[in-house]
Amino acid sequence: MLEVRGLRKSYGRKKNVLNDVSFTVPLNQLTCLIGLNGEGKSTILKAIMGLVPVDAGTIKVDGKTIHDSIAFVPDLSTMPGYMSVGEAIAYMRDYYPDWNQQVAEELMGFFKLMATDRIANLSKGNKAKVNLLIGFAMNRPYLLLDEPLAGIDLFTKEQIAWIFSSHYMEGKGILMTTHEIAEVEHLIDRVIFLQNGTIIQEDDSEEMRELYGKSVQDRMREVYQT
Amino acid sequence: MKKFFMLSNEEIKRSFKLYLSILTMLVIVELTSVVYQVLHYQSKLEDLMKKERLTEMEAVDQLNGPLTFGDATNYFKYMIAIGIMFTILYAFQIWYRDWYGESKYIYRLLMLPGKRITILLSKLTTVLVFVCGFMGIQWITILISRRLYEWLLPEHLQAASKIIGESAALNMLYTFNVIDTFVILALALFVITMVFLFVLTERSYQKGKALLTIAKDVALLIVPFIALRYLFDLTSMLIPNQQVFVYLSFILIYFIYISWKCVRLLNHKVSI
Repeated sequence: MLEVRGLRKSYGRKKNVLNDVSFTVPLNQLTCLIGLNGEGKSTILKAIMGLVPVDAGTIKVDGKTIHDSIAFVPDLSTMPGYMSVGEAIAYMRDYYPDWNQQVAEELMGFFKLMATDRIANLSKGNKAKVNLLIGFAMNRPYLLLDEPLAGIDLFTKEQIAWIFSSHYMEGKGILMTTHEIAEVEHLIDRVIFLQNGTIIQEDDSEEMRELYGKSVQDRMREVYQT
Repeated sequence: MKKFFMLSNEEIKRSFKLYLSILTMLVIVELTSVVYQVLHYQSKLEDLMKKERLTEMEAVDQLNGPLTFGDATNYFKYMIAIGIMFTILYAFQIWYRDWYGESKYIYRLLMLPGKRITILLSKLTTVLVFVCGFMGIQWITILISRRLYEWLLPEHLQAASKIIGESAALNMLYTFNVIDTFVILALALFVITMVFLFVLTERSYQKGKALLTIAKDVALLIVPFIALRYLFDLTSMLIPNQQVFVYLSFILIYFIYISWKCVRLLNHKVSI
């Protein structure tokens, strides 16, 4: 289990971005971190990966302080533009001993990506596909996805949503941030609402629907409008 | 070690075309400047002989003597200054392109397995490899320039001189001496590490705090230096050689401090 405990982050004395954020991400579940822009969702993911320093808090995987069990898929292209898709995969394979080349090749075929295509020439949707491919092929038990559905076309969204319900998710704990809740509502197992850097609600999505008689998206609307 | 070599190779590959273009441009300008200086001197000489009806020796005297190799390579100091400027700019760019470039490669770098110091070392090595390349090309260019000078200018119009004039610092580059080369590379290492410290400080703190931290680190270099100089001027407790030893020791301690700080910032403070 990925455990985040007492995460605090502030910029200067005035702006608190994260206030004592604690939650867990279990294996075999898709946990969705929901909040409006600027609530600190991406900061939490970056903090888990050690990409932003935090003022306090611990991040543990099965009780150990390690990042080696987590893969992070940001919402922007992270491979140099001059590389081709094939070179980007080869680059990652060289650095990650657990790299799963079979998953990489399968997803390249599924997403219809060409090994010779240069990253710089790819559309936003195809860049998102390359990011996702890398995230899954890293073969780590926990996967953090930052806005994987943002700014991409309908068919790409459907392809990515299919991945979330496929065998590639088996044995993985996913923490995802997204504004496109309607697209993935049926796949979400747990929901965390974040407001002003504080967790205001954390629930099983099915229980939430039963308790409030609303979809996750409608519940979100209600929470953030009041 | 494997990660270091792979990252260094990637960094060199990323900038090699740009580096080669700049290097080629500098060499072309340098060689052209030698040809221009020699031809210009000869043309002035001919003009003087025609207009003033002087003999060649009188005209040479009027032009303050024969054209020295130092005069012929007069533009080299500007080219070297441009080379140094490009090196410093590159030391900034090698980091900032990863943050602000089209792809945010810094995410990938910071998440790579293993220690982050490897990222720092690979970038440092890349800039130093380019500095070594620049020095090597300068050596080759000066040898070619010498041949050009001797080939284009009649022997009696040539004069012996230091390689590129009187600048001791610039002449150090062309001594082909191991110690001088080592001193230049050590100086380059120091300057590049300083630039890296500025970048990593700027990427670690908010604007005001970053500026204050940079100012403090610069003051930590300058103030003790001035104090030592003042102390040595006031007292005569150390002979010049001992003074140089004290200065070098101070620079070494400061270099260890900035290197440690770069690693600390990269490990615990930088954010994206």
